[in-house]
Amino acid sequence: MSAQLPDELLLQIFELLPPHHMPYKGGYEHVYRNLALSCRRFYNLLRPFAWRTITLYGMKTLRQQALAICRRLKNDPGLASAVRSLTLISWDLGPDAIYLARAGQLMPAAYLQQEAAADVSRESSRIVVYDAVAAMCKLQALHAERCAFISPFERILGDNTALTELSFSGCSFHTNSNDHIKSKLTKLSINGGSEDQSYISLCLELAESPLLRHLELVKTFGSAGSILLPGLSKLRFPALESFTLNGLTPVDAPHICTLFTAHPYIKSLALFMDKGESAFIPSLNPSSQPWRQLETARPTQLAQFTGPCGLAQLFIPGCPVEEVTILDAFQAFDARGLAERVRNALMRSTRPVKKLTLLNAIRLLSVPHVTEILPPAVEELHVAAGPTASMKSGLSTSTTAPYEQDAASKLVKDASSLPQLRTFILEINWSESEQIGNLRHQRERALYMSHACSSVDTIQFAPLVRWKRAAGVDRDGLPDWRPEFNKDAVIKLTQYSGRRKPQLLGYDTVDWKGCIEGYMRAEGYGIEFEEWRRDMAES
Amino acid sequence: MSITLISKEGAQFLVSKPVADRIGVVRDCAYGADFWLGYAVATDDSMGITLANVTSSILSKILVWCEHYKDMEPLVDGDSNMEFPEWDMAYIGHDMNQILFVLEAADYLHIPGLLLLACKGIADVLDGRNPRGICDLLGIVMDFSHRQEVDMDKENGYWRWFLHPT
Repeated sequence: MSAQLPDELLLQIFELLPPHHMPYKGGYEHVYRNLALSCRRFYNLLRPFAWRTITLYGMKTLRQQALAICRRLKNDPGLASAVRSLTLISWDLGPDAIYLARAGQLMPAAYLQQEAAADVSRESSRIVVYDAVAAMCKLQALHAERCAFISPFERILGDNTALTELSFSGCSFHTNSNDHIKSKLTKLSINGGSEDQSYISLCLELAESPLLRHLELVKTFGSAGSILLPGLSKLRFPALESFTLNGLTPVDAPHICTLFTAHPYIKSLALFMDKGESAFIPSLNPSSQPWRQLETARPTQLAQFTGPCGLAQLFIPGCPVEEVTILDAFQAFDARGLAERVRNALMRSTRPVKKLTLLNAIRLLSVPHVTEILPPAVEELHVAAGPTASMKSGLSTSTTAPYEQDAASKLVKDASSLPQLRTFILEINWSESEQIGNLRHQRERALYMSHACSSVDTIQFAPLVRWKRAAGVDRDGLPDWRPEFNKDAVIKLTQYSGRRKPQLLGYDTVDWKGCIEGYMRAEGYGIEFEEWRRDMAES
Repeated sequence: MSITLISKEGAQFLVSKPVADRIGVVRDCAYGADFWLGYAVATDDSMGITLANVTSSILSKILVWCEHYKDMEPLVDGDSNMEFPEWDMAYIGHDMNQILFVLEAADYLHIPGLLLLACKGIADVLDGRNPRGICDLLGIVMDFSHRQEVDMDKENGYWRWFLHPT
């Protein structure tokens, strides 16, 4: 029957194929490949889709394959025009003329001759890559990581008028013509780089795009970030909606204040601290200019805030913030003060906070002030003992040290008093036996929660399993809570057992698949169990 | 005002105006070109429209969707990253044959929102299946030999190593 479907319908179906890889014979492959190998008609229709998003690795082991792809793209303009998103990784093709000139003062002549000879092959590789990229006339997103491009990048950036998304990490390059970029760039991410003045100038010029809506600055790599932030804070972005800073330090607070107050339409502010940063105390003098600006001019549309408690206090009051993520809820030395500060910040939002996430909250949970923090109108509460790492599918798999069970029970009790709470996610590892392996125990907790708080319909107590309340009651006349498993993650965890350690550290000793199968069989999940088993077998 | 829709088998379905408005073909038949100018001229309460290519079971299923969306706008455009409402995903289900019938009917009846949802349903069912499973599911002949399949896989090595989903 589907053979009769017209091409345009098939193309629409292909557009909606899930955006993730699936486990297949020990590796990961996309559904595109399997569809394309089904019949010639599908193959021809899917060919452009297969080239829509590509990644080219420049590492020695993969470079030849990447160059082969580049040659193919160069020789087939149809394929090149199908590319919409390109990621270039590790195309730092060695010393260029500038580097060699600098090195000439230090290195012996023989070394320089050797490097110069190698540079010829690098240069030819570069040309192949640049020609391929130049042929991608409909390229919309370019991500470059560890690429030391100099002049050819100028051509890529200057000529490509379709480019709307640009991110670069660990790159050092400069260009003289970026007028075309400025006209269309809507998303820009800058990660590190050198302190070279031309590089700094380029970054600032790129950021001046009048359509720029999302700006991200990562300071953790290279030293350019520290120089760029003051420069960016002085610019005006007429369309800016979200700003993200990674590698935040206390001295950045004044610059963020300046940037924040100058952009009244900003909707999302995310400020991530440096790795290992302890309690965050912003460096801001209350009588300084940025502080006074913050008191008088506040963005009227800020709806999402992510950052340390110290900055939440500064930025949330007076703004219509509905989603808050506090990153440093672990200040055990002053738990009462922290609870007070968080509560003050949340209560001073002009709209009720509906989604609250508390990360690094392992110590906070041990004090008796948690209820003071929780806003009464919150609909989604997410408490994690440590920094979280969410999977694509939305189920969390972060790992933290085992934690005292009483604190978690207390939090469940506190959260139960929230009248509008619908989703409750508690990322705390009580102990291995109480993780996924003890689904009955989790179900009992879900039942307790639903008894105390009737509005809750989604609960997650442990990685990989999220409990959803179904309509009606179960065979015992109790609310029908059903586990929803993260199938892909379970397959990933079980597939490599005995051969390779799973990627998700800390869970390799649990037989996830066996636990889930045992539970589903014991609890009488007839059809669901068969579907689950079939899916696992097919995968 | 209400409109009677007649299925392929002759079964009649009486639907209200907001529900009928979701079906492009019915809307065009009932209101003609004047509809687009803002003049609802059809006043005949006994109006009947025959939908010769749609069976009763599929038409009744489609009307459930139209009833649900009579007061709100469905998604009509999207990509692989878009999330559909839970009701939509429960409605479309995983029965490939039925989804294909709904898809064809939505195409014939000019219902863009339902067409998109049916495409999403098919895409979800296809995900996670190998080439042979896809052929069995869609009832198509696998016209690649194993040898050709291996060759193509080899030729398109990028599929495995360099390709990332959109």
